[in-house]
Amino acid sequence: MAESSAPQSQKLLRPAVLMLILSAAVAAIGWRLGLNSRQVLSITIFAMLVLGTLFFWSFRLAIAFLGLAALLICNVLTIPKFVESSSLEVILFLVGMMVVVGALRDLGFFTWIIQLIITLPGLTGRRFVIITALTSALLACAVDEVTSILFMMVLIFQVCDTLKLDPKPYLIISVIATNIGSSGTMLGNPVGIFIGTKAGLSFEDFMVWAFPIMLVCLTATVGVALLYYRRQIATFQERLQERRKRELGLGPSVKVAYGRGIAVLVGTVGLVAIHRRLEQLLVLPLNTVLLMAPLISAGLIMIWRRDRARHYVEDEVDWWTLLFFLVLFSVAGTLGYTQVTDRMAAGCTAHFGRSVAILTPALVVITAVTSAFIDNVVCVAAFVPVIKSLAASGLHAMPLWWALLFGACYGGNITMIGSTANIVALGMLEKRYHGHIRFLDWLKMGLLVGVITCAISAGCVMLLSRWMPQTR
Amino acid sequence: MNSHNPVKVSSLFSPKEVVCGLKDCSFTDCIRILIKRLAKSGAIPNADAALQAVLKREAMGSTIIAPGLAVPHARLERLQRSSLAVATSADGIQPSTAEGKQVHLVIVVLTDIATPGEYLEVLSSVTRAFSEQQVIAKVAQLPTPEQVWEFFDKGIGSLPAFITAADMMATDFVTLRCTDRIAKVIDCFNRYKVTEVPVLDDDGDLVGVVAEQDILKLGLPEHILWLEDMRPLLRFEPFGEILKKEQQIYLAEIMSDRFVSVQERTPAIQVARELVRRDIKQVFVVRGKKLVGIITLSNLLGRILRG
Repeated sequence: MAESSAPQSQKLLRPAVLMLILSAAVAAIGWRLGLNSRQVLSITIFAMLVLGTLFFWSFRLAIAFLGLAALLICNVLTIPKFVESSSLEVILFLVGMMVVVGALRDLGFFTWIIQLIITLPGLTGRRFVIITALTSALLACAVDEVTSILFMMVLIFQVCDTLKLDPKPYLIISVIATNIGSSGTMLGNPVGIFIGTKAGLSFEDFMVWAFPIMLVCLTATVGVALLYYRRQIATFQERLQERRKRELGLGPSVKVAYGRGIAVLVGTVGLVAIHRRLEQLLVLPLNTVLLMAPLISAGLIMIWRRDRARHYVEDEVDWWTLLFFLVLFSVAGTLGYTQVTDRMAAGCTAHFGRSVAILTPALVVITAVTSAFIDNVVCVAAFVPVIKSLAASGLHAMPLWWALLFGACYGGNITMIGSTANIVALGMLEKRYHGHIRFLDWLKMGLLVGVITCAISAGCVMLLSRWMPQTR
Repeated sequence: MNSHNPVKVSSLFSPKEVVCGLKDCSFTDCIRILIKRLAKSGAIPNADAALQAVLKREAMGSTIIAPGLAVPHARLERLQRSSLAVATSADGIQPSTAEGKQVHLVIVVLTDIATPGEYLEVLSSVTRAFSEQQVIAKVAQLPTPEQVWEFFDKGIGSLPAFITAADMMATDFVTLRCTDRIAKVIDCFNRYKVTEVPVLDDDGDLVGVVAEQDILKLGLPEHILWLEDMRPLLRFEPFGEILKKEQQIYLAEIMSDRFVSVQERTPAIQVARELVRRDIKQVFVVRGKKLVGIITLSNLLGRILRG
C-alpha cells in the first residue's frame, strides 16, 4: 500500500502546488487592484474552489468545506450570512426533484419511454438521431440533465449493442442535446433554478424566453449532427434494415403501467408551471410555490410509497453534489457581501460599456469558455452577484440573465469535461465498454455545436431584448 | 525466463527405483512398492506418511494423465529433494477408480511442499515425453530398470525452466461459431453446464465469448430491470420473444469481444496474475489466433495447490 500511495501523492502534488500558486496570484492581483483584506480573502478562496473543481474533481467537496471554514474563521463570512447565501431553497428543490425521479424510475416511466422508442414503427437512422436528441432535451427540461443522460445512455447502449454499433456518436449527440435542453426550463439544470431564484424569473419567463431559443439551438444541433455523423447513421440504417428483414426488434418490450408515472411527472411539472399564478392567487412571495412544488410531490410520493421512501431519500438524492452546491453558493455569496462583485461589475461596464448589445455576447462567450472547463454551476455562482450588481445599477438585466444561462449550458458542450452530464455519460461508457472518447474527438463536434448554439442564443437574446421586461 | 532448469528428470531417481514387468498387482500395491523403494534408498524419511499422502490425493481424483500412464503424487514436508519411482507393466494395472482403463506405466512423484512448481514441472516433462501412445507401450516393454532409466535420461531431458500456459490448459472444451443461432447457444449452456463459451469465426480464430449473462440480458435489459413492480415479468414474458426468435438471432449479435487470451508459452504465473487482476474466471490459450486451450480459475488453483 505504501508503494502505491507514493506515486499517487506525487500525482496530486503538482496540481496542488499549481492551485496554490494560481490562488496566490489571484490574491496578489486583488491587492494590486486595491481590494481590502476581506475582499482578497473571499476572491482567493473562491479561486481555490474553482481551481479545486478543475484539478481535483473528487476532492471538490473537501476543498469547499475547508474554504467555507476559512471564510468563517477569518470573519469574512458570518453564520447568518452563510445560511442566507447557501440557497437552501434551491438545494431543497433539487432534493425534491431527485426523489420524484427515483419514483418515476420505480414506476416504469423511463422504461416506458425507452420501449416507446425502440418499438417505434418506421424508425430509421436519421429518425433515431432526431428522436434521441429531442427526448434527451425534453427529458432534461422535465427532470434535469443528469437524470436525462442516465436514462438516455441506457437507450443508446441497448440500441447500439443490439445493432453492434459504436455508441460514441450517439452518446455525444445525446449529451449535447441534453445540455441544450437543460436551458429550456428551470428544471433542466441547477443553473436554471439558481439563476431563476436570484434573478426573480418564473417558470413562465423561461417558457417564453428560454424555451423557444433552446428549440432553435436544438434544431440547428440536430442538423449539424445529421451531417457530421452521416456515415455512422448510414451504417445504423443498414444494420437496422438487415435486422428488420429477420423480423427482429431492438429489444424486448413488456407491458408497463406507465399511467402513474405520467401522473407524477405531469403533477410535478404542472405545479411548477402554474407557480406564478398560484403565488399571485395566494399572495405569496415570488417563486415560493415553484421551490416547494417538488417538495410537495416528493412528500406525497413518500407517503404513497412509504416502503421506498428511505430508499428515495438515501440513494436517489445525490447528497455529495448538493452539499458542494450549498457551500459553493455561500462562498460565491461572500463575493457579494464583500462588494467584490460591485468592483467586478464596474470593471465589466468599464470594459464593455453599459450597452446590452455588447454585454450580452460578451457574457455568453465568457461564460461559455469558462464553463467549458469548470463546472457550470461554479461559473454561474461567480457571475450571479456581478449581474445583480449590474441590475442594481439600473441596467436592463434580463438579457444578461439569459446570456448567462445559455453561455453556461452551451459552453458545457465544448469539451468532454464541460458539464456533469458529459462526465456521467463518459463514466457510463467507460464502465460498460472499457473505452473512452478522445478529447479532440469530442472537441471537434463540441466546439462546432458550441459556437453555433452560442451565436444563435446570443443573437436571439439581443434580438428579443427590447421586448424583455425588467426583472423583479 | 528463457534459461533452462539444469535439473534432469533422470537425476531424480536411479534404476533402483524402477520396477519392471509388474503382474497381478493392484494400483495401490504398485504405489506401495514404489514408495518402499524410495524409502529404502533414503529419498523419503517416512514411507507410511508418503503412502497416505499419495492415496489421499488419488482419492480426490484420477492421476492418469494419458491413456496407459498414471502419475500418482504427493507433496511432503521436509523432503530433501524431489524423487521419482517408476513401475512398468506390459499386462497392465487396474487403477483405483472404477472407470479408469488399465495403465502400463506408473510414475510416483514426491516433491517438497515448499516447491509447489516442481511436481508441475515433472508432469510437464513427462506429458511431453509420453504424448504419443506408442512411447508408453514401448517403455512398458523395456525389460530392465537400467533401460527404463536410460529412456528417461535421453528421452525426457531437463525439467522446464517454468510452467507455461500450455502446461496448465484443458484441451477438451466446447466452442461455438459466430454464425451459430442463439438456439444452439442456449442448448450449449444447458447441455454442458458451462457459464462462458469461446466463439470462433469461420477460420477457427478466437473472436469472442458468450456468457449465460448475455442470454439473460437479452430478456432482461437494464431498462426493464428499473421496474420495481415485477408483475409484467412474473410469467417470464420477455423471454417469450427470445424463444420465438432464437433461430433468427446470430451469436455474433450478442457475443462480447472482451476476453483475455495468452499464448501457449506464457508463464502460468502470469495467467494467474491476469485472473486475479482482471477478476475473471477463465483465460483462453491461443496459438496465434487459434484457440488451443482454456485455463479456468478452479483448474489453475487445483493444479497449483493440489497437483
